[in-house]
Amino acid sequence: MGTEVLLEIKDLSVEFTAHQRKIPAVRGIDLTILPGQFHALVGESGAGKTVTSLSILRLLPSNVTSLRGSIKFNDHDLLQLSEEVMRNLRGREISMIFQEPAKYLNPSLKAGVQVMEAIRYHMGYSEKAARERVCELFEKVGLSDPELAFDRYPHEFSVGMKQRVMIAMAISCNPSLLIADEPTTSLDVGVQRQIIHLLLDLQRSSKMAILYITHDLGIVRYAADVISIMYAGKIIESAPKDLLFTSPLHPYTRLLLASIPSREKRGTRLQGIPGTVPNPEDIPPGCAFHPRCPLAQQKCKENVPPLVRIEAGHRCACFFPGKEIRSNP
Amino acid sequence: MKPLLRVENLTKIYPGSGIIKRYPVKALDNISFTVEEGDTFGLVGESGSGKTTLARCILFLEPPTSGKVYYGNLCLNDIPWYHWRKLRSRMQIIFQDPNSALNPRLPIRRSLEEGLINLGYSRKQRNDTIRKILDQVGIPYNQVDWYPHEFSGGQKQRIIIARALSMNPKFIVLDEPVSNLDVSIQAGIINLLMDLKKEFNLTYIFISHDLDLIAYLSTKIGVLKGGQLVEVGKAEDVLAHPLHPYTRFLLENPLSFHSRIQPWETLAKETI
Repeated sequence: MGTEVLLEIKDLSVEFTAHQRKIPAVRGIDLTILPGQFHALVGESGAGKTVTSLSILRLLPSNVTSLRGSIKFNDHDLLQLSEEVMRNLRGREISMIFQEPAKYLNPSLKAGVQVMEAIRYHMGYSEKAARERVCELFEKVGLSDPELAFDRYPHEFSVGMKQRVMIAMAISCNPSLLIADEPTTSLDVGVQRQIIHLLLDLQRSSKMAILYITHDLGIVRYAADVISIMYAGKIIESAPKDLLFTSPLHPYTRLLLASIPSREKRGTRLQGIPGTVPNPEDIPPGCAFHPRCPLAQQKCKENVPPLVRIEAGHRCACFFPGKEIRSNP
Repeated sequence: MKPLLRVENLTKIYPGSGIIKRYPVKALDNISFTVEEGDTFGLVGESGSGKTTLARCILFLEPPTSGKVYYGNLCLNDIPWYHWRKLRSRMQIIFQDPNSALNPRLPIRRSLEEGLINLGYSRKQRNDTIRKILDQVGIPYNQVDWYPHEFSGGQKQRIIIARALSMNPKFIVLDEPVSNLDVSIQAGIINLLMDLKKEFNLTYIFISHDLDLIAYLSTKIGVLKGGQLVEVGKAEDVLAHPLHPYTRFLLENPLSFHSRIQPWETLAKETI
């Protein structure tokens, strides 16, 4: 037996059909999450981050026409489980928080009642016990005066507080994996920081693994243990935090890191990446990044580079990993 | 350098909504600052701090409740309405969402030439101008009859920049011009804006919530919080010696990409 693995995605592909056109949103990804790990999935819009997370929970919309591969969670393939078993898993073993907490809270129900629902369903608590548990959770996520918060309606909370209610709901049954889909993107700096600290604290205190989906490399650099970078439906680089930021290998990662503005770069030109992110409907053949890549050669246009191990824990899908990029004139 | 824009004691109060009792909202509270010619005035603040309201008040898209705005020696408060059209071409604004700033039912040529028609350009002059500015922002001229949905977000933002530029403005207010774009596209737009600034000798008011970005490109920085300008000064000074605790808080954000603070250093200290 090797090390224990919590979630293992193997060769997952998801394809939608819309207006008679096939849209490959995820094109064969491998992803492994260890128990208690903070795993960040980074990518731009349309890279397939959210589709990946929704397929873990089997919450994909109905226009998915092809779903291949396997998602092993504690030795069960989530894609093969019955809907009933899945329902028992969601919220209990794997739960999720989203970007806009307001959209996922029922405006006509008290916050406490909504959080209580999962506890009563999954753990069979009585109403009284569940109420106590909710107050405990509210305390844990930093809502002052939990008794009062229990009877509040969502509109009486600020966005940051709503996100805390969502987090309370998500951790109510002690899941072993929390999927966080851009939970801080619409929040202000101060609140963002509190939410990240709350997640880090929960991860540490209850050994919960987090799959954190974002495009914000600042947050990733601060909080993540392992980072996987997605581009056009594929993982193109995956590495522990230290390796990724000190020695990025894929040209996309390297250009991306170089294009972030900062104080230190005042007066210099930003790197930038030419071209645009490909539309999922027409992803270029070969390496999807080749039209924008300064290192691209004939080989890149014809063959898809596999995600291979370069050094311990560091995987990269490029024919020329780490090759020097001459900066733009 | 001579001041191009001067804002004096600008206040904006919204009457507020409600049937029984109205609670007025003070969106901007007594704001004063000067923008000199050639400056990039970076305005940073969180959502709801009044950044966009300030942008709109400066351009009189929304008249301020009190306070004055001077453009050169001209007091904008006293301009009669029939002079505004001419003046507007001098000052342009670029909004955050490129998708809603172009009319989806018009090919971009029509959107681009509208302002030029107002200025009384002939057809040939219009075509020449459009060709020139599209080239400047990196959109091929043969796409001029395309509709907005055929362009990506970054390209749309380029077209909007071209439209603002075609008026030969002296200064441009940029309200979060890259916030809706993908990270890999942002740098290209920022580089373009900086190139254009140099070439056309423009003055920018650059609004963003991203302090890293403001710190990268501003010559002067203003920090807005709750409708008040809590700190304003030369970029170097504000970055090196922030005076207001809020500015310091923003500058020390551990979630900034360039921060080297590690979670365990702050985790114990922060109250959760």
